[in-house]
Amino acid sequence: MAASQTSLSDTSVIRRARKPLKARQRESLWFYLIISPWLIGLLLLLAGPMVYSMYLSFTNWDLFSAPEWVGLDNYIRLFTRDRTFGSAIGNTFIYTFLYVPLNIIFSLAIAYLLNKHLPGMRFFRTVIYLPYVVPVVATTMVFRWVFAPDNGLLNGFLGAFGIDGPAWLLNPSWVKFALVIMSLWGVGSSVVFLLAGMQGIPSELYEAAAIDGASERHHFFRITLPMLSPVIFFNMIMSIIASLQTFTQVYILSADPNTPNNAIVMIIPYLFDNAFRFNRMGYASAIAWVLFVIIFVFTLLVIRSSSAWVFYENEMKR
Amino acid sequence: MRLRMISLFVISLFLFSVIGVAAQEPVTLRMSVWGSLSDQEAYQARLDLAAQQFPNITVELLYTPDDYDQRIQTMMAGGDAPDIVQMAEAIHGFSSRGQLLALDDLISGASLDMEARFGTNHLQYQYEGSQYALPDRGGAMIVYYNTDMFDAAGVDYPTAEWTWEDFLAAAQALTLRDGDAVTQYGFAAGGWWPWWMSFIYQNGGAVLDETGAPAFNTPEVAEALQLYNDLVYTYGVAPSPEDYANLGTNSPDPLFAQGKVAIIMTGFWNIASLRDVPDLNWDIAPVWGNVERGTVAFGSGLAITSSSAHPEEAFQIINFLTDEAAQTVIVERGQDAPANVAVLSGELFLSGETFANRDIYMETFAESADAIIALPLIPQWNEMQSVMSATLDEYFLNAIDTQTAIDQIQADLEDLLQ
Repeated sequence: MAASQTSLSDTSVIRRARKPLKARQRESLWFYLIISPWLIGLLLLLAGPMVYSMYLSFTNWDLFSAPEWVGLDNYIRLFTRDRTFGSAIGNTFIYTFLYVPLNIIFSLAIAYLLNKHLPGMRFFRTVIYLPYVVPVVATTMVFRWVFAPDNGLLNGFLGAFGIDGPAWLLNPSWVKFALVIMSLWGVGSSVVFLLAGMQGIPSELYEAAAIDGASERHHFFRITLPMLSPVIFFNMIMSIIASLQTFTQVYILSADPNTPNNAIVMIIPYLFDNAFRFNRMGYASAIAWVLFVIIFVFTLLVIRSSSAWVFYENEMKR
Repeated sequence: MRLRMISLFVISLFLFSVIGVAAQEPVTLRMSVWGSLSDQEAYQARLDLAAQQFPNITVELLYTPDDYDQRIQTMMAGGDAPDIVQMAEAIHGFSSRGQLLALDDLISGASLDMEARFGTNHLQYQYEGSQYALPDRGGAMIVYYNTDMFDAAGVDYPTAEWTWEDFLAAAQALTLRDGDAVTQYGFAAGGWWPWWMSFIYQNGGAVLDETGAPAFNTPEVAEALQLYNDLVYTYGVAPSPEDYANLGTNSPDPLFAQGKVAIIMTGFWNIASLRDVPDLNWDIAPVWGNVERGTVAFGSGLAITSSSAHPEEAFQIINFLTDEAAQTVIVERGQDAPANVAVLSGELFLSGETFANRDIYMETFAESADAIIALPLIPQWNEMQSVMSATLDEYFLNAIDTQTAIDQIQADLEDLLQ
């Protein structure tokens, strides 16, 4: 600490000797210097390919021969003739609209429970996070057994209550719910953020509320929830983007010849098929841009809505 | 004068040829294959033989266990394609896009008699009249049956002469029930294309007609698919997708090994898988027919990429690998059925001693040779598979009826191929 302070003042001495820079200018210089690796990376590795894929989306390109300009044909085909793309959009939306709210509710409930001071809490926290560390490939394999129609864990459990569970992974209507359940198993990543957020809430707030006679319920809804809203906001955006980009589970389940592929196909797996199995790079690029617009709109909506429900400690509510 | 000219010419010719030999610089080729680790070892053993024959050519083996086509495609698009590539059904996705070298000149240059070496197996690797690969491995899909179950039910063993009628009667006799629950299935298959597609061709149906146009909504196809589904939902002799899920697998092969099913259809590789299963008595037979016989060839060929800097050397290698000595290694290692006809009908292969620890009917492969269907290996093969399975997935769950299924597939194929 002391060493860095001397070196900092050393450089400023040299600077001052040459030409005095205003503190503000110096700061922005350092800013650009430090973010330059990302800026250059963004321009070279992201912006370039993005612009190119925009161009490709107006062409037919099989990866090998020269791209052939087809105007809006790819987009027109996507929205008028391609039934599989229709299913992909529908499935992705159903999955997202189910998964995102459930993920928030479950992660909040679990984080709330894990924040209690009970013996062995560290163990439970580890257990909740563990599934998130398991590779999706392994999870998917294991869940095949969990979802087995007659003798699977889940239907066995439902059977105990007299419920005759469906063939989760085979029934075209239920398979999407199966995917949601499978993803909720990895809720631990959201829980970690929420738990950290909960632990950062000053205990004075609760003490003051307790003196005023607030109940446990008031504590949660009037203190915990508003104080956590920035974390929930972050989790929400991340899980919306992640679920719109679902790939691995679908890819693995589709490899099973018995899975009803049309019922689980999603946008990214369909993009992948077009790009790397059907040699339709241009078409795949068009799908990528449609997905980009979808993600952009959803994210924008959430950000716009945030002023109504996200509370930042250092901001004054108008 | 003239004599001097001639002698000079002869001397220079001699010198040139000496230089030519000396100029046989070492060449390094890359060859890409898929499969299991034992497949990799078998390829390496064959390349070691090739290295003795061609000391100036070094071949590096690139082994890709998963997502093979994607990797090859990425390498090609990136200008980093291997010289030699293993290719199967997806071959014409590459040949039609100019990524593979037409081998015709090299074949005639080497005076290679394709017919004599490969029978009719090489035809599937032709696109618009040109040969794009030499067949390398090529066992047909065959029948595996549990002899104990057949003996117990008093059913005659399957033969090449079996029709659907014989097959269905046997499957019914071989299915055992305990109340409603099936304890032993007569037959097991599922959504994998070689199974249902062979039924279609056995009935005289086809996916595409001779002109290459979709021909899926025909009575022949309808009848074949109907029987295929009836085996599960009407006769109850084969497991449904739901039964598979309950049995904890999606493939008939483990069910056969566990003694839960009497008849399955699969490739040569299952011989090695079944070899060490204790207390399982089984044999193999050619697949049955109906209007005609029909089975699928599970093969692969070796092709040369059009970007290869050393096509001549690469051809020397694939020519050698598909010749008798190197093909015999495939048999010695029990890897697969070789594509070379001489090795396929050779004593070592027919004895079966290198793969099976029992006396099995190895003539099955030769008897299957004339029942192999000409697969519609169009450039859009992958996409065609995807289109068909999207509908058939539902059909095999008995969620839609036959006419709806074939009409939908016909419409989708027409849309794809227009």
